[in-house]
Amino acid sequence: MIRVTELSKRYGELLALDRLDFELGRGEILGLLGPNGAGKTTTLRLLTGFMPPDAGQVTIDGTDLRDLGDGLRRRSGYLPESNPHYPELTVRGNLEFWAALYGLSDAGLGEAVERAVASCGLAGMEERPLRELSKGYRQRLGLAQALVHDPEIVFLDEPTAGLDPIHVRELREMIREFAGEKTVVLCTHVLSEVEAVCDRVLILARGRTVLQGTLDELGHRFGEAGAFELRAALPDPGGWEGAPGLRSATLAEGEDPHRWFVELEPDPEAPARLTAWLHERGGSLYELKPRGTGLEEVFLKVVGEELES
Amino acid sequence: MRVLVAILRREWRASFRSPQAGIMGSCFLFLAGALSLFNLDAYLRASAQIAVRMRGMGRDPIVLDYGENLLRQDLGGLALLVLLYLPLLAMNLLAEERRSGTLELLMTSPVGDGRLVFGKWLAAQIQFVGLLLLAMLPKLVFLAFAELPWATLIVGLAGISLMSGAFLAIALFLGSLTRSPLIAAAGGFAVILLLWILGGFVEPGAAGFPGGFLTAASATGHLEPLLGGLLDSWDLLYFVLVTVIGLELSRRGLQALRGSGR
Repeated sequence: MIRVTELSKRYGELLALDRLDFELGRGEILGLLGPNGAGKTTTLRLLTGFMPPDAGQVTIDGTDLRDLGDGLRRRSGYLPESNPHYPELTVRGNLEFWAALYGLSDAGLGEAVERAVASCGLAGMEERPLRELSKGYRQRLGLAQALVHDPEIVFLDEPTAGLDPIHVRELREMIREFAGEKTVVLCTHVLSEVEAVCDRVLILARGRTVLQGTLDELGHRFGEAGAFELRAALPDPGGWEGAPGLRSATLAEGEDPHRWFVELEPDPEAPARLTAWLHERGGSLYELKPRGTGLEEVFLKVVGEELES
Repeated sequence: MRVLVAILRREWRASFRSPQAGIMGSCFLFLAGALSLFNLDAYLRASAQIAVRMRGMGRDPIVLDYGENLLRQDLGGLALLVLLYLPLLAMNLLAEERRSGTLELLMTSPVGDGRLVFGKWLAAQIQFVGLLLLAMLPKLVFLAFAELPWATLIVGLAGISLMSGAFLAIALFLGSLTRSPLIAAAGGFAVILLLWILGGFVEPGAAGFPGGFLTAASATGHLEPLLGGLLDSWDLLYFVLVTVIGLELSRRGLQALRGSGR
């Protein structure tokens, strides 16, 4: 649905975005990840049509963004990082204003506002003035503003920044709910958010793409074959002695005496055989996961390499 | 059209719910009333002196009417208030939207920069003209005592409205250049004041450059005839032209903002 080719943007001397390329299918959620100043907000501003690029092209369903004009704007919703509202209006007043701006007729407007209120958990808050809203509810209003005209594409810039864990979880659930139906570009530097919400991830550092792919692809690419992390109570006596398919086992540093890094033979059945063996010998397995596949490890590795270069 | 109505309605609601707009409007009306009262007082004293003199000369005293002179004084006072009030009215139109971040949302909505600028300008202009009419409301009292020179009154008010439109467009442009409402107001005030006093630098009736140019560019030079009830197409054209230039510059200011990404 969205195709970005060689997209670049310069602010004076600073190259904020350097030949960005990606493709995003209908209904997919892309996590745009990167440290501060990586070019995430610039990318969103180019995609929303707020700024023109210096080079490159963005197409939506094959049509250039510049030719789409109002067409793109009607089809997309945007929640900027600053999450702006009109403080003198109520929740409903804000939503009605944006719905009217997107050309919704009086008949459709009320319905659209009700739908946005319901889907963003703002029921009962409609007549509240903005000064009475907590940050969490303001953020929901920001999301409702972006969704009120029922766009196909939604751009979200740091939607959960500064929220408490409960609001973070609820907001993520809301975003997850419209996956498949709407195409979403989510800009964040919270790694767990990408893992919780996104299908694909694109990591930016200093304006350059350092990595992109689906979460599974990245895990696969960066996971070391046969390397696992596990937490287990070992058979006593004997420990690891006689464990099938085990090449090496190292007790992880730290206070947990049950946490081990193990290397197994490159056999898909090796983890299952090890588990069965542990069970037979009277040990207990608490946790077993492939090592080094977490997004955080990937992020630190690729961004660290880019910043060092 | 629907979009324009949405923008007007929001500005309307904002001005009714924000204490700032209420306080500013009240101050405007109070000062307009006070100026009008001073004018009337001066006029009454003058009339009394003339009446005494007339009696001394054995003639009938003249009757108080809301004469052209007094009306002109009142309109002149209102025009002066425009100078103070408009930069304050205009400062929030774009600068505040920019500061709060709503401008970015507006500029990624299907409104379009031109319509956005025009909508903002129109909302402020309607608000100001409404205030102007409110300020003139007490003058209706004179209807009980005298004839109102309607033509002069209407042309004069139209002149002040045209001037406010032109000044608003300039202030709007300055607001598109800065994130700070205060700087927008100060800049707007400086430019408007310059246009106001420009004609004062040259002898009346000067021609050529710079004399003729300064006279032609001066706002007061084009307002004075209108306040006297004299309708001249050049004067109208001047204010329309300044308005159009101001609005176009504001639109370009927004476009420059897109390029810079700030």
